[in-house]
Amino acid sequence: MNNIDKFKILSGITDFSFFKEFPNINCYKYYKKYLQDIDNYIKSTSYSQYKTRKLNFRFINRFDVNGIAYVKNGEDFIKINEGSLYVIYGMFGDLIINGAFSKYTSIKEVADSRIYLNNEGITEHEFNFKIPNDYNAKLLSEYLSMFAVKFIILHELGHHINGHLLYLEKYYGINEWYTKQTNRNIPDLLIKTLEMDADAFAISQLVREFKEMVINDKKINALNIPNEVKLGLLIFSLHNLFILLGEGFETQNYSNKYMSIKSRYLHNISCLKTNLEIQYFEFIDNINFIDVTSYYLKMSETLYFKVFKINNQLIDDLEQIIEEYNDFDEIKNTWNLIFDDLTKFARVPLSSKYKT
Amino acid sequence: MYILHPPIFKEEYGLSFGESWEIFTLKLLKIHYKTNNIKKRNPPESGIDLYFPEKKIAFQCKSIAEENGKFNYTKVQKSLEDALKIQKELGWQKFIICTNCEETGKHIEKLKKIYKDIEIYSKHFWIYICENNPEVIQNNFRKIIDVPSAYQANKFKNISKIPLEIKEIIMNKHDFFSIWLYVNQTDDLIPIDVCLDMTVEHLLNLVKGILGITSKTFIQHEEVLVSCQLYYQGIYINESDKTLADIRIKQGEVVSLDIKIELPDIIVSTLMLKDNQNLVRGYLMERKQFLLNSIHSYLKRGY
Repeated sequence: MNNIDKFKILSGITDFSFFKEFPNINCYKYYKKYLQDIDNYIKSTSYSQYKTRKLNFRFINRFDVNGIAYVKNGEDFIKINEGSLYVIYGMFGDLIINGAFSKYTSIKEVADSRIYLNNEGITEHEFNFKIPNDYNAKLLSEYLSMFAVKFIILHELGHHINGHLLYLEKYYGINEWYTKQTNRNIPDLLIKTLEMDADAFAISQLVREFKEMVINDKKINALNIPNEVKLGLLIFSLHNLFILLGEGFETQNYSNKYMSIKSRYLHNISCLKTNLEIQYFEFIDNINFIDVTSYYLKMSETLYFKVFKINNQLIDDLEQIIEEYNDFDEIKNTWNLIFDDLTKFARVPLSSKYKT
Repeated sequence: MYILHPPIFKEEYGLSFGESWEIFTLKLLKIHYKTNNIKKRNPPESGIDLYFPEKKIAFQCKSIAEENGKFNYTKVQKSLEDALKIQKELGWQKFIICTNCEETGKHIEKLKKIYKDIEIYSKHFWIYICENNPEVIQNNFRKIIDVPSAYQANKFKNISKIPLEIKEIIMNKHDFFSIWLYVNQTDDLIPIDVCLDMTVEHLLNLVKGILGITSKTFIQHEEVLVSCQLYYQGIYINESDKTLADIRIKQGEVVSLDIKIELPDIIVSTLMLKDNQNLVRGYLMERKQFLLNSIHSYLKRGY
């Protein structure tokens, strides 16, 4: 394959493709605008006194998959590691090439490139980028990547919109981690509760967009794929993201401040079901959610192992998951306890209190 | 591959190489004889460092720190003669020399003339036990990140801060030699090809290029300054225009890299997507992973 052909293949289809015209990375500006649009929408509809706070967003040149939300000098900040984009787009490219949703693709050729990211004349990061030369495969890969990246961004946004950081600042003070090696004495259970709420915020927003995609997205609808498969795209995307987030973590090394990645995933799937039932009942009413989830969960684990040689069977960590589920009652209690104070800082209505 | 010499072999904290070797051989002998009853003797050892009473075996540990060091027959002979003086008192019957060198048949023959039941456990004996018990000895060795010369030459080519004449020496593979770069924070050893005409600054640029270290990075959410310092024989090499010939670095020697990250006063309220308890270590591990991935890709793709 000559370079011109290769460049054509590597260039994407959607507004959120990694490269629009290779080698210019396209998706940075898409996600910046995406976040800006949500922020503007909330600013225009919220009644909160905090709605006018300035939101600063940027990608930073760190290469593991992570993101951070913080408040500083009266402004809100979100920073996402650039590596999150490279790894996620690379991962879904690989999974599609290796058979994900193969019923809807016809891959005959793959463009395989090594991308070098230079800074100060030094190569700071290199990554492989594979793109199939097939319209459908490219399209599906881009949607899968988009859902996963949006989940990360929305999770961080959730910490601001739902008032978590202002609440922590008011009741627990601030980090002086660097200079004094001290951390605020935030209870583990509170961190877990807020992380789960940020995940729930992300899922809720994703479901809203999923509904929009199913109803109005011409590119996806032109593929003529059944609704079960459309839902499968979202589940497959989230499940692989969580496998990725769990990579390199050993069960016994989790800090108590975070739930294990697998428990978080299960919580998110449960959240997805609830949100679909509330926001898009006519869609989910005709689908067996458990069957679809099980099918794509199995497909994710099988393919991830095939491509990346990393085993991630939920069953492996069942004992810990069961143990963590025992904490759920305490998380619900924590939510109920903080709800009234958190509401003062939230810019949108929060999930209601749990019934006791 | 196990190398029974520093810097790959790790000395015990605060102990000399000789003392560390003795502790290491004791550990391996216990595995070999499947016993916990081999004891380290207190001074004066009288030519016997370790003793296995049940089998009446006396062990003498002889180590050479330099990789190319030779088996010192004279010292061994002296130890054996000392041990013979307390043979009746201790009751030992077999004498075994535990060395990290390779011995020759000639040495054994000479020693057997002094005492018949003598044996030498040399380098290959210990490596065999290591290979069969990797989980037991993993903390006794530093991990080497194998950086192929061809990969390094390719990397060298793209580092703009190194002059062409130095690049030519390394890329044409003449008058170059290999030293060890020891990364303090990750306890890794990396072989680096260098030449005597290189300055300390060139070496530093090469190291930064290999590990992808820029002067600024992000720790958590703040942009922080990163600086790298090189140490040779425990002394900070601060004269960047000195050549490696000036500071007399030789083949196989160790230069240590210390990566410093200036953490500013940051006072904020934060939450992260994924827990990352040790942020500075996270950055250093990311740099190590970058090198490993980069080598892996080079070997697979050739570029």
